[in-house]
Amino acid sequence: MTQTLGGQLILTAIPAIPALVFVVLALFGRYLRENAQYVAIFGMVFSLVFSVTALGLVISGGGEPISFAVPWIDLGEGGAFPMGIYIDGLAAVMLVVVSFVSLMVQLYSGAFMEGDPRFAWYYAVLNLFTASMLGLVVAPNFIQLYVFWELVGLCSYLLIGHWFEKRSARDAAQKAFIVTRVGDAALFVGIIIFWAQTGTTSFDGISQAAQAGFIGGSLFTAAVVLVFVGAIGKSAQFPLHVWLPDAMEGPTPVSALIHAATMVAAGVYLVARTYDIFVQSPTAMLTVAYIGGFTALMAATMALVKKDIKRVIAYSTVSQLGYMMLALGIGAFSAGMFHLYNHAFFKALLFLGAGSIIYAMNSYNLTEMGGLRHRMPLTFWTMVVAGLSLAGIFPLAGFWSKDAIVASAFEDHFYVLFGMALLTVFLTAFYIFRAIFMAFTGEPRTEAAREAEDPPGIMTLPMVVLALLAVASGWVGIPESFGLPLRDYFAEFVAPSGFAAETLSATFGVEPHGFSFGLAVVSVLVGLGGIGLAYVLYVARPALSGSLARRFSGLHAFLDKGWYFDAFYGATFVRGARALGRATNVFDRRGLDRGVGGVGRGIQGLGEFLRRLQTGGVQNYALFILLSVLVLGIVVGAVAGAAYTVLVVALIAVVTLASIAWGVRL
Amino acid sequence: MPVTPETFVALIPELVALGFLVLVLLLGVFVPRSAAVPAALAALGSLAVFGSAVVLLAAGFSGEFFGGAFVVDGFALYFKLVVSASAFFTVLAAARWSGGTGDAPEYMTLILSVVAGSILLVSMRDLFGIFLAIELATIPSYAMVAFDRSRRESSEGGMKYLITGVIASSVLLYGIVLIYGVSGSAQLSEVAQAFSEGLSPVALLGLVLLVSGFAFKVSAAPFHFWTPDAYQGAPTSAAAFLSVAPKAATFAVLLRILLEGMPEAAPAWTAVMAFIAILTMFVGNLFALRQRNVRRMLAYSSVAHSGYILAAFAALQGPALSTGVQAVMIYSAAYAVMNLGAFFVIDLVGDDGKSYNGLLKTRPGIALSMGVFMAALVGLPPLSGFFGKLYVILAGAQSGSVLVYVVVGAVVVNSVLSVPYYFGIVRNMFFEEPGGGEPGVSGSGALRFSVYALAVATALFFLVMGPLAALVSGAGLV
Repeated sequence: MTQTLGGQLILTAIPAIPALVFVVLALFGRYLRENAQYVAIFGMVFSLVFSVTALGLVISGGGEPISFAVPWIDLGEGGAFPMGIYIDGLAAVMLVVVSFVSLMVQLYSGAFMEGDPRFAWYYAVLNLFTASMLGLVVAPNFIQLYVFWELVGLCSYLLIGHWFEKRSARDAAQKAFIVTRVGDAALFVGIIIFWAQTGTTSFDGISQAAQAGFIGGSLFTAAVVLVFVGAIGKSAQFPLHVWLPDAMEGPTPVSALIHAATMVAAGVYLVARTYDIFVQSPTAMLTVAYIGGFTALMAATMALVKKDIKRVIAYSTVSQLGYMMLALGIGAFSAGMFHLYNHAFFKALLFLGAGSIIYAMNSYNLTEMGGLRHRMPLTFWTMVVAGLSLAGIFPLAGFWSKDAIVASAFEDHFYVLFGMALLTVFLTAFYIFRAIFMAFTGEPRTEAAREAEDPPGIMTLPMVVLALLAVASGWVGIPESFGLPLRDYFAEFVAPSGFAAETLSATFGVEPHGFSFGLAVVSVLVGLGGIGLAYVLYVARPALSGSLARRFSGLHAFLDKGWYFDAFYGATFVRGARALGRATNVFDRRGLDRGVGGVGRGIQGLGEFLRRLQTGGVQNYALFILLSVLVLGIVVGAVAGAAYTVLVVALIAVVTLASIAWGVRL
Repeated sequence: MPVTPETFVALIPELVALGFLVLVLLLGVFVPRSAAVPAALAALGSLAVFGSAVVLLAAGFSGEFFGGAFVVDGFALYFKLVVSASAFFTVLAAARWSGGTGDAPEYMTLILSVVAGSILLVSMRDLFGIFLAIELATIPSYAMVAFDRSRRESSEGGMKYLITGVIASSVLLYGIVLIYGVSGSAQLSEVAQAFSEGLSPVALLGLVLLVSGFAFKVSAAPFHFWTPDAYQGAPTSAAAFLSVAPKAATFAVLLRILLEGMPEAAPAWTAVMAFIAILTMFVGNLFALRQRNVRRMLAYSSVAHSGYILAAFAALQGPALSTGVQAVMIYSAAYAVMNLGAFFVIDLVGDDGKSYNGLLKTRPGIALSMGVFMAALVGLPPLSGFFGKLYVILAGAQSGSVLVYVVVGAVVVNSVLSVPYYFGIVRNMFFEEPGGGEPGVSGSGALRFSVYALAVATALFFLVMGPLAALVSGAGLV
């Protein structure tokens, strides 16, 4: 669908406005100070309005994607890269979700960050973060996507480390950046393989080239899996999930944004965006499904015993992203994206709720809370709504998407994944209500908990709005076979392409299926069971949980330490890198450059200086040059096949030159 | 070979550079103790060279002169632009500093003579002419490194650079002589004929020595060891300039020699380049990892970036030929803006990593600029360094050679490897409290202007990428 110039400008403005706000705040933040929030919110309202406009345009166009592009980099014979915008149903929904959640977070942050010495800078980076994510969503090709992909990572680095007075925040920022960059490197290699084989980086172009057989076999699978590794890094999937819990060191509203709409959603979005490519490789699809399923289960177990409320929610995100990956991997495209969309609202709400508690009592620690229900009723009820939605209890938003995923796994005969998913439902309900019960019920365990209060008005507004959405956002995607006189708008609007649907049914036997009441009842009962167990252990018989933890102390520690992933990476990669760094350092300082430090000290005249040079580094350098020439000669000789001749000649040359050098005596 | 008016037109950039050089030098004799005038004159000279190259490029001027020994084409003019623009910013950055030493005319003269040598170099098509132009650019650079008489490391660095540089020059000259002996001519076109008849061992040895000499000039491993000493000792503006302008010109002429002079020997020299490139990248980045001194770190970083450019050389085969040449051109420009900027910030803030602590709070403008430079050196999009790496990797991917794929893999691995040390600075600036007292940020307005201008250029590189890509794809050697 083509657009008028005005329409194109409006669509371009969606990511451009927050980018502009970033520039303004970065340059003039010093003068704006706390007024920065009004500039930012003003800009974000426009972004949201334009995003809704884009959604309207796509809907009124009958789901036809909007796309336009301008030429950008022209390699001559080598090819060309355009720069453009591509908005289909999937992208339009993402735009609205991202700009909406970002607006909520920015509304909330004003009071939360009050008095922060870098208030304007915080808002500046928050806007660049949002702009990058919006730019990523509308990218029509891999190169453009990669640009914004990296920007998202850079901004998260700055935001996670925002409270750098804490050493742990600096370390967490560094860790997030480096771990995700491992994934980014893999993504980049995947992109280059696609480009080298097909001559294009556009999602559509690569998909068509693969269908036409320009790229196939194991190389194709490798490229798709490499792209997925990029998604693993960004979406914190096993085995690159270690950065996300540490990222809790950032301000809590940032966590809400990272976990709900930007950054971690980028990985899932990437797989969905390139779904036409993924479906052509059954191996890659299964990799996605099993990595997702395993991550969902693994992260849920890690969340069971955490004492830090933000970390419970953080592991919950890892787990829920695993769900989405699982759904995409088994061909339940709409269900996966539906879950991403619902998750954005209730997860943002959970974080804002946690933020309110932290705001009120300045502690993350669940064991220091207790009895907050009476002191913070609004926070309590919104958290319960979000928790129920996360646990997938009928008829809240989370139920519809979670049930769709679990049912797809069952109906399409992925029974192992189905088992993982169902077990995760139980664990999810348990850990989130464990946290809620520990924080809100019983007796206050500290003085701070006794004095806690609901946050001021402006901060509650986003919470109430998000709570309404946590209940109702899923109602746009109620399956028609459920029996209500409603259409399944979401699945109609965010559907896999015709090609993807055909391939899925041909290779996986994935067929559309109706709503299964039996499965829904089972998954809701499992969820209620989790809540019930949490009630028994933390409200009815609180002593029991302590004795269980003592009895299974080994298991408890295993879960609490996140299955010892950090310890493992620390012992292998981090120590290895440090050792390598030390080794080169020794070589630099004491090996070749021994002369440098020595010469710098205590030399009076040039004569002395020359004398020292002669015995110092330079002669080594000269010898080194000659040796290197010899090495190069060997390489060339080996390549050209004239090894012996060249070796002999080179040796003679080296001897000649060395004697010249010696004769000169420097 | 008659000397026509056209010959003079072709030589305009060089003549302009030499003219201003003489002017600045004379000024030093007749108007002593003046700092602002020589600097202004030198800046004007760089701009005039830049302008004349732009005019020649816009007019589509091209041709061979002096019996084919001197050539003007889009490729040469492009590099003249890079060199003269770098010189302009360097002169601005050095204006106050050289005035402080009282030797402004001399320092500016040295800069201009490096410019003259470098822009002459990229137009040379004759091996002996190439050698002369290289020396014209290199000899003043020894003096530039040793120029700071207030610091001992400066003369030490200059001395080391001089001694090793002379050895490297003799290696290079020996290589040239051997090639001349094989082909009976120093003209690249005739050298190409000789090389097309099969590779004799002597020709191969000539190639090896030639490549070794050039590897030294561009501080590629294992010939890089002078770089940290020289750059650490040199005045900051000199280190900035030498790591960018003459290096870009040297890469350009090496490209010309290899592609025009010995295309038939491509299998041999691409293999050597692949070997050197991998070694250079790893050496540069691994050694930079633990540097506490920012200047020394940047010196090793410049070694690593030479490795990335050499990776494009390794890709100069098969269908990647055109993209490979473009990669060298794009990388040179992208590297110029980000590296000059990073060095100039060192000039402002100092070379101790600790002096960057909390810079975001005390000097947000400088901190943001340095952040942009560091992110660009890592290769984060959409900053300039990303496009350089992108071109290199695209060229490698097109080449269709397994060895080059390995090189490209090394490029990717190295860009991850380089994150910690560049972001160590960012971390200090953004995530540390300012140290005791105000950080010693000083420097002239011209220097700060250079930093900001280069930061904007680095950050908005993606905007000019379109026209730039069109320029280099039309101006490539092949």
